[in-house]
Amino acid sequence: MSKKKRRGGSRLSRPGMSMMAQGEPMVWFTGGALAISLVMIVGLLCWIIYNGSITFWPVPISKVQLNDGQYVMGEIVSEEDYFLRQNMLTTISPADEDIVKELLGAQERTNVHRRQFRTGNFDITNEHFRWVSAFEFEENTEVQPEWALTVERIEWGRFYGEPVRYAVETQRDVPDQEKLYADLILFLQNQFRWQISDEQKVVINNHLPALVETHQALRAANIAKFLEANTKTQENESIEIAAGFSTVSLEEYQPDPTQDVKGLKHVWTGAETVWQKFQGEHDNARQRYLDRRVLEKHDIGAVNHRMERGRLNVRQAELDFDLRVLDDAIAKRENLRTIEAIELEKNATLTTIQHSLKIIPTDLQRVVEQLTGPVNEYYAGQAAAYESTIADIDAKLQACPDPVQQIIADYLVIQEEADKATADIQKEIDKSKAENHKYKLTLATAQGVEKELAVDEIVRAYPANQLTTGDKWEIYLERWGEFLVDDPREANSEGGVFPAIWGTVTMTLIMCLVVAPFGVLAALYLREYAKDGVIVSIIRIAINNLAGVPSIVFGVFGLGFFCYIFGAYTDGGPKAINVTPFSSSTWIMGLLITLALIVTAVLCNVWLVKRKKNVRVAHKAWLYSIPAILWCAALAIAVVLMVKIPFFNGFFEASLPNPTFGKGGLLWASLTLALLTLPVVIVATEEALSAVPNSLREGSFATGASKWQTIRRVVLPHATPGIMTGMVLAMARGAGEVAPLMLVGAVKLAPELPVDMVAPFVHLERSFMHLGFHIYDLGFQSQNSEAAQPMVYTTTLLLVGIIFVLNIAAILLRNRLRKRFAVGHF
Amino acid sequence: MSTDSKNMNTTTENGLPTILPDLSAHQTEGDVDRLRLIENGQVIPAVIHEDINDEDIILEINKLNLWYGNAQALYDITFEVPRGKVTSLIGPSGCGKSTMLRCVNRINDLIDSVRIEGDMIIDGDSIFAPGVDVIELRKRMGMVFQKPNPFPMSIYENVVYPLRIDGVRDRAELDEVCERSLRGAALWDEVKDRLRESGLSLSGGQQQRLCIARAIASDPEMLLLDEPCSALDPVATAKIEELIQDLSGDYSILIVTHNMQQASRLSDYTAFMYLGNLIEFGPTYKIFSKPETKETEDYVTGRFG
Repeated sequence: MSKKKRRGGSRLSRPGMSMMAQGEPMVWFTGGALAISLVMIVGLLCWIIYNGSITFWPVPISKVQLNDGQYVMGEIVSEEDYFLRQNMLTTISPADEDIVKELLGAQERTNVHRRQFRTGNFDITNEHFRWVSAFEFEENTEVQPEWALTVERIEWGRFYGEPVRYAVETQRDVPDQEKLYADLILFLQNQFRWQISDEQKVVINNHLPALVETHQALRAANIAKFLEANTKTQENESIEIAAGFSTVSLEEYQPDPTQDVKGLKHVWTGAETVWQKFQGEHDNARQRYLDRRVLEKHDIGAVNHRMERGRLNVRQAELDFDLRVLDDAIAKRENLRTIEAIELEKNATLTTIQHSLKIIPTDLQRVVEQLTGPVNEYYAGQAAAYESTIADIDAKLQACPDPVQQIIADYLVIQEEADKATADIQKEIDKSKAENHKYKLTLATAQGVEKELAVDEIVRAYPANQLTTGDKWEIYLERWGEFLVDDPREANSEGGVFPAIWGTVTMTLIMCLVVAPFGVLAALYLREYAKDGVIVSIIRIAINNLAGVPSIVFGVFGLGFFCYIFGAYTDGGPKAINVTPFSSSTWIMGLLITLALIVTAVLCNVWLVKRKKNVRVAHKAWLYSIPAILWCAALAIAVVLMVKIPFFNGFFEASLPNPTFGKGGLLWASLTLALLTLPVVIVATEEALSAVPNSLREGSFATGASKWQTIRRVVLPHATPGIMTGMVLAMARGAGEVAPLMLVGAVKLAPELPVDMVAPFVHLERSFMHLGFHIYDLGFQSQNSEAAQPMVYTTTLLLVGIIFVLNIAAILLRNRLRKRFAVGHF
Repeated sequence: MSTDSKNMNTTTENGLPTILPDLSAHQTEGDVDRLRLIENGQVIPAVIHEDINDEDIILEINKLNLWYGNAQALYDITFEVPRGKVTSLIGPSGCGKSTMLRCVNRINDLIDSVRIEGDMIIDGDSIFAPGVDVIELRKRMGMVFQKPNPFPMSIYENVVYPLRIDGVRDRAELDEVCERSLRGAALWDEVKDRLRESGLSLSGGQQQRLCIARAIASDPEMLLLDEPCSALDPVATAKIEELIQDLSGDYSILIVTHNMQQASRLSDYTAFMYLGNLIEFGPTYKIFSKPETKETEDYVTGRFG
């Protein structure tokens, strides 16, 4: 008895045992694992959020003078400590050598602090960044110049400098009369160009000085008038005059009849005045620039688009009617028209000179007539020759069949209209360019190098060291706005990522549209209709394996199958994928066989359904394989028939050899990703379907519902939340996938959005930009990846944000559905 | 032995008194042991009480045999179900009473391997003849299952579901049917203000009554109840039982139950089944008070099963 008691006691008191028995360490262990996972995830997110959100915050500009007298100015972007070693002495500039030697002494290495300046001014210095060690300048000499400007430019990246000058150019408009004299004099001075007799030369030389004198007098008067009208100045303002080939200030300017004055410049100096003047004009100049971009991109694009469509019509007609030369002939005609236009313009110059005849003496008149006559005739002859060649071509075109002629006529009209439209738009563009060309801002770098910047090329400028917190927030938010809605520039490292956002969202949505029906229907068949058996098990395993295939493999498949086979087939029919089509009779025979197979299979199915309804006969599974085999055979033959169809030459034959669908594009990318996410959707849907209690199905059948009614009205509503979960997972995976996209359509820079306002609005064949690919491109493919690094973080933050938003939306939707079908508690 | 069974059966689980068979009469000592014979695979003709001949018959079951693949589940079942009465099927687990019930609306067809011989005739129409449209057939009867199975939709939609699948869109008709069915299922007063709420928000007993409302919505000829109270608490059970009794005049009800007291309380006729064989069929009071076979008596007194 006592022995027993002791044994019981020893069991209880074994040291350490109670804790193990209660499983306390496992709580710590599992809890610890969770904590570590959370720390990693939260850490990653915080890292991205922190780095992504500071990118756009305006930073003050620092300036230091190095020991060798050089200045370094820019934003300080990072700092670190490093070991300065004896063997580094050779790489150090002579000015720092003594200091470094003193610093090192006899030590092998010493700790040195250094900071990285973002110095910008790449066009001048060929570098964006500069590391400055603590010993390279005297301590406490660092300054933050009051008027240092941070300038974001359209090209060449950032510029850091202090405003020196702001200039507005004014061109002198040359009156017609003066221009007439100038043209005439130029023509006469260039007399050696023409075969000219001595007699004529004498006449010209007699009259030329007088003409020049008249011209100069006229010009001097005009210049005086121009200067008087434009030389009012205010404080801090001076005027520079472009006289002859040099520029002089108004004070130094001496009127000289031999010198032309092309125009003058109002120049403002003094940092504050310059800054104010710049700000006054910047918004207008920017607006003009943006308007011009719209003209260049949108309007000209629309004209070109129209022309291209017309050309494709012609090319299609050429293919349809087997006319080999149509396209070439029209192209030649177009060229001739252009040349003719140039000749006519030359002729026009001569015509002006002939107009000047009124103002010159009669003997000179005769000479000019003698000289211009033959040239005029020559030009006229040329033009006539072109006309006749064009007439020949037209005659050839006239010989074409009627429908083709209509197409050609349409195209010629389009061409003419397009030429006119382009010329009009070009004129407007030139006008806007000339206007913007007037405004110039000159900045001086820390080194004192002056750089003239056109105002419209400056995206944003701000005096970084004078900003209040409010200003900083304004700039910060403005930059975010630009990031979200603008096109990228500077090899994607600056500007916005709107096309990438647009591309990502469009692609993800199209992917969902494709994957949802396919995935759900496939799962419905597997779970509701198919009988469990070997084949279904094999299919399930295959689907699960599909989920584990590396995504790049899908990319390769997408490129090889969708783009190069399916796309090429769409473009150019069987010939485009190197398939010899059947002869028509064989093909029709094949079609009949397929139809026969389908009819047999349908009859078989009908018979089997009837047989199945009759519960008096034993169930024989093998019978069902008969229609299955028939269906498979029909499908196989149908596929072969489709591939080898002799009546189909593709939808985009006219634009070959340029591929339309036979290359990477939005549609193929979406399909590839749909394939990639299909297993996720099928597995999730199957799970959701199997979670629907069988009693619900039976209940529905018992009321007399058919199978499909049961699925649609009872099973699917019950499974919807689960299916939505699958869609969320698929969407998250699809939106974040990059590797396959690199092969099937994501590009560094897409000139056009895949969905826009040009009919047919959704351009599935277009390449597109994608945020994930954008990140890769910024981080690894950019020639200036160091400057792009902050953008990598920002873009990552954006991508994470977009996926987050998409997921939240889907989860909210799912929760609403779940609430609707929530199970009550009794 | 008899004392034991007496003690066991004096009260049911819910404390209601029950009818006790008179053990002294109807002792059939010298009879064959039917149970042993059935277990050995023999088919024993059932004992059918003559009272059924006076009834108006709605469902005639004629030599029904059923196989799941190669395993036979029902053997030569033959009996008749009276119109407007409650008929209960009792028997130990696996005796085929649910299978029997599920044959009536051919919901067993959903199982691939089922094969049936013999026939059932409902109101003169064969159920298993080759040309029968199963869906039309099922519309002629309503079925209620063991566990309440309201659909994931509103109470209203649950009730009018049989009309919805027939494509009825007339609002007035749907409303009328909904109210009539819910009143018929004694649920109207409880849910009339929350018809748009999910059917799943009701309590278990209410859900089961909702299922009954759904079953009677298309005005069926028969109601098939497959252990409708087995997942409910005593209070809900009592309500459902009351409802079944109310419905019994208008509908012919075939009910499967495990609970013999329930069968004795509710039904007019009772069939006792064992291992796919019908042992005895007759008016309930006779089955429970003076059954003609010893096996029935043993079962209803709780000696086995």
